[in-house]
Amino acid sequence: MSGPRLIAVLGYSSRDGGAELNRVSAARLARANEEALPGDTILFSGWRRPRRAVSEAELMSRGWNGNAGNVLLDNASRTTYGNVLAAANVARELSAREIVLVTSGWHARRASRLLEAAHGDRVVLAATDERGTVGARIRERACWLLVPLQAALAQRRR
Amino acid sequence: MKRVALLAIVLALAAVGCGADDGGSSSATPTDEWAEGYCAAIVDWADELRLATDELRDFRSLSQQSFAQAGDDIRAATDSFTGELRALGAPDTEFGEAARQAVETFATAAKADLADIERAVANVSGLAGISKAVSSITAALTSMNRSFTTMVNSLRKLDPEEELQSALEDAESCDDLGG
Repeated sequence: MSGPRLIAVLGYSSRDGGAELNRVSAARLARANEEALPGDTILFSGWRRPRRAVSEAELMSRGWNGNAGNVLLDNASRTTYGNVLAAANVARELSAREIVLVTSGWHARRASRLLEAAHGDRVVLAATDERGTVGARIRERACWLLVPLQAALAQRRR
Repeated sequence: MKRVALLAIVLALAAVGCGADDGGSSSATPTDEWAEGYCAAIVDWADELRLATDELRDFRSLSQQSFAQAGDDIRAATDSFTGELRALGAPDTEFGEAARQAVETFATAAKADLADIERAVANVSGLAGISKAVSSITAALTSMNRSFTTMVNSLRKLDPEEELQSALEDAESCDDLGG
């Protein structure tokens, strides 16, 4: 693979807030800013919640002022599994040499496990260091029950 | 489950003054105890379900028997989890009854998802059937996870003073959630 690096930034879906970037997504955006280099392609991923004017991907792209030559949006993905499948698809289309996965520390283990299943081992993790709220950690723990099956399904799509 | 049993013993010992603190009485409120039991039950359930679904990860080695085993394990873990949540009763807060109702709604939804998983397990046949069954089980677990998230979010919304959230932040068993 000799294509660009793909920086995949996963949006955080919050029921709170509206047209503003939520705190978690803002931290991920800042982390992506530290990682991105000219020549990279950046993918912002995250759906538009009902009754919201714009998607998480769009909100992150509006706040983006970093490096990276090419900015792409995935407005459809509503779950981590969807995010990583979209990132793997874009990486294949670009023949990306590696994917830099940008997300929160408390979410990184599950997201990277799924992305590696969908794309292989050319995944580099760039995680923020904030601690999730107890609610986020409870939801994250329960999401792990899906990981073995989602990883198996993602692997079969490669 | 072991953690919940251990927790019950620790709390019982604390209640009769057997804790390390010789001040005479435990400082754990009923809400603290509820929070401890809630996180402990979640950690056990998530771990057991992950082990159960792990059995289905390698498509090449799957058999009717492995599906049946995974289905049984998922049912046992979820029945035990909903039983533990129900046994916790309503948290001792002004929204306690609404919280108990949120738990009940989850338990009812989980029962329907378990029925979907059992149907998927019963209908497995052939190589194509295995892939279809894994997709069906994943869909049912996704639905169960969604119901669970709804319950967690409901508990948060019901708690404007963050009394329960604060107890959850302080609960030792919630540290086992990771992250």
